[in-house]
Amino acid sequence: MSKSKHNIAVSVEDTVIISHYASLLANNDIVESIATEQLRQQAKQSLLTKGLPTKKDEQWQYTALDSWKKILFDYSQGGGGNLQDLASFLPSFASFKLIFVDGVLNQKLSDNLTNLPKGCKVVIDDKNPRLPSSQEPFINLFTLTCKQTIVIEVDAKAMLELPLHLVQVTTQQSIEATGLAINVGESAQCKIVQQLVSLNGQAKFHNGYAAINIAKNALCEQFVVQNLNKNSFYFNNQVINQAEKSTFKSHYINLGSAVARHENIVIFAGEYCEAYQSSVVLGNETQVADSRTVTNHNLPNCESYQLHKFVLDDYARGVFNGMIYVAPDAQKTNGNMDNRNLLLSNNAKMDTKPQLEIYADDVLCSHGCTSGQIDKNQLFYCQSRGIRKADARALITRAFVLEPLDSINNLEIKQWLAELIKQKLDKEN
Amino acid sequence: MLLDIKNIHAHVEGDEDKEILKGLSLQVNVGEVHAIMGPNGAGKSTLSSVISGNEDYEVSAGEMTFNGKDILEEDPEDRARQGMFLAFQYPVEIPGVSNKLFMQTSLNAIREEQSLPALDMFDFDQYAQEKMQLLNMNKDMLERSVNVGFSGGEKKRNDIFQMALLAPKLCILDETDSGLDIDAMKIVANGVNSLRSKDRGFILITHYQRLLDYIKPDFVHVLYDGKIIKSAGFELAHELEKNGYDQIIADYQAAKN
Repeated sequence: MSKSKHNIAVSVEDTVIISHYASLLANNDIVESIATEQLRQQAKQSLLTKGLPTKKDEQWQYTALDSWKKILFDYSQGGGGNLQDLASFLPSFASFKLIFVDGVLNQKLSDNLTNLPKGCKVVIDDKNPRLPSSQEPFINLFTLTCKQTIVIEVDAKAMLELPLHLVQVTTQQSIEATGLAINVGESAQCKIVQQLVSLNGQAKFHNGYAAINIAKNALCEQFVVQNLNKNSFYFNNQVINQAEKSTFKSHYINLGSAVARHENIVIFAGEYCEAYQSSVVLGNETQVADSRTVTNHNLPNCESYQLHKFVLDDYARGVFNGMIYVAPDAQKTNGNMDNRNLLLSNNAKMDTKPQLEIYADDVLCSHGCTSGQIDKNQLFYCQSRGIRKADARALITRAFVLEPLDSINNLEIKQWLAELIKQKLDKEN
Repeated sequence: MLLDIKNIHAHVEGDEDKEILKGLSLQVNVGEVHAIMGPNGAGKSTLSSVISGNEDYEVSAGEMTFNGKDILEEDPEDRARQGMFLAFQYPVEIPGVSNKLFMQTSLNAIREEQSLPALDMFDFDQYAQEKMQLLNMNKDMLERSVNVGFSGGEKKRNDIFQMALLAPKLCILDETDSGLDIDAMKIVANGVNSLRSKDRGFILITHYQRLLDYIKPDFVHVLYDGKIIKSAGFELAHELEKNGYDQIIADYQAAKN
């Protein structure tokens, strides 16, 4: 519930920014459909009427955008940088890889789209990008600037063992607004790994939008590994629609960016759905990391579980905002949401807002959150066993932050993620 | 001498006005078992904290040597690496860290100090299995998080298991018997007795005589008002059990005045 802004004129600064992003596709050679044009116009009008978020907006109170507003990002002109280092960022487990460099599919590095795993289709659609209509400023910015949608279709009953692996590589200062449309057919199963990496210090403005539809009895497990450099900005909105008896599992790993904001909106559109959502968020220096979820229990007999863990050092700022909504008819709902935060410095700050809105009476819902520093007694216990204080801190911190990975059944992916998290912790402590 | 404490004064960090140890002296040689008894609030737990180097306490005066070396300025981990071990009154839970990882890290830290090569997972497992039998422990205990979901007795047994693994020179047991039923206490006592050796010293801090009946210390000290006010052989424990602390405290007060 964001506060409405009455009669507040949009600032000149915001108008300049919005006009800039509106102009990016103006010289596009592609003739767009009337519907697409209309959506882009609507998005622009909405932005120009309401302006960009400020700290006065309840939903943006803790996610400062000042540094993002200072750079007007353009699309990359292509060409790409030195890609030699990319190999060291990629995991060793087998997957079907699609590698995008500065927003453009690199066919040399990617697996051949004609060799996709059986039961799966991928189309990179730049003629009819899927554009959402929304009131959210960054979704509107997406609609204004999106060039292409990666459409993934998984056939009914297909069991994809091989993970689909999307790698979005940045080598040049640029905006990237690539959409993701995932449709998982009835009784199908798939795993999708989305990895964002920077090969140098160039700033990226990543503004993603994903529409994930999971049909009856199907399972979709998603991993998002955000490891952009600290000059970058990451925004991602995901809307997940689940049909009856479907399962969605999402694991968000936030390691990079100056400002990052990841949001899942889960909608149960059938009974007996399950959703697992987890975050591992590491922040240091002046990083801002925001992870949020809205879980809509619209129908009875659905279950949702969430564990979000933040480790913040230096002047880092973490934000968690989670809402479980239970509709009047949604009896026998099981909704569980946990947010645990470890602050490694006195200057790190965490703002957390777990919310339950329950209109049914026969439900099992809980939420919890804790923020604290490393327990002194735990440290002393380790030290009294000969473990050096710094090692004890690392041991305790790792154990704390790796817990959300426990819900991952694929050991190779789990180990890869654990390794990335450990590396990040070791490098920065 | 293994541990030599001379006229130690200590207070809670940042609270200089409230002295807890007020000139305590204690000598422990290898091969000896010392019991420290005393009423609540006498300073028993402060003593174990000060010996093991807990930063919550500050020593304002006195001397303390371990193996002839001044250790007052040393960190807890350095004391542990030189062979000191504290079994906690309340062993601490560390969620997400398995006992195996915890104890392998600990053992290898201590082996590093002794210039011994680190034990890998396989060698550690084998070594740990031997010690676990000694304490009647379930094998799955190694895979569980440190003390998480353990009963009081399991936690204490886990501490004694750690003690057996690390084979320290000085073992300090801080109220290890509190909250244990008779069976758990016997297991703990057996563990301690099996570790008794001419190369090792013990300090048992306890409120009750029960544990001492199973361990039979060589010396019993009464701690009161931040000092040792009486020391004698094992027979003192029985005297305390029968007559309580009143007479000893009265004698001490009379001598003081």
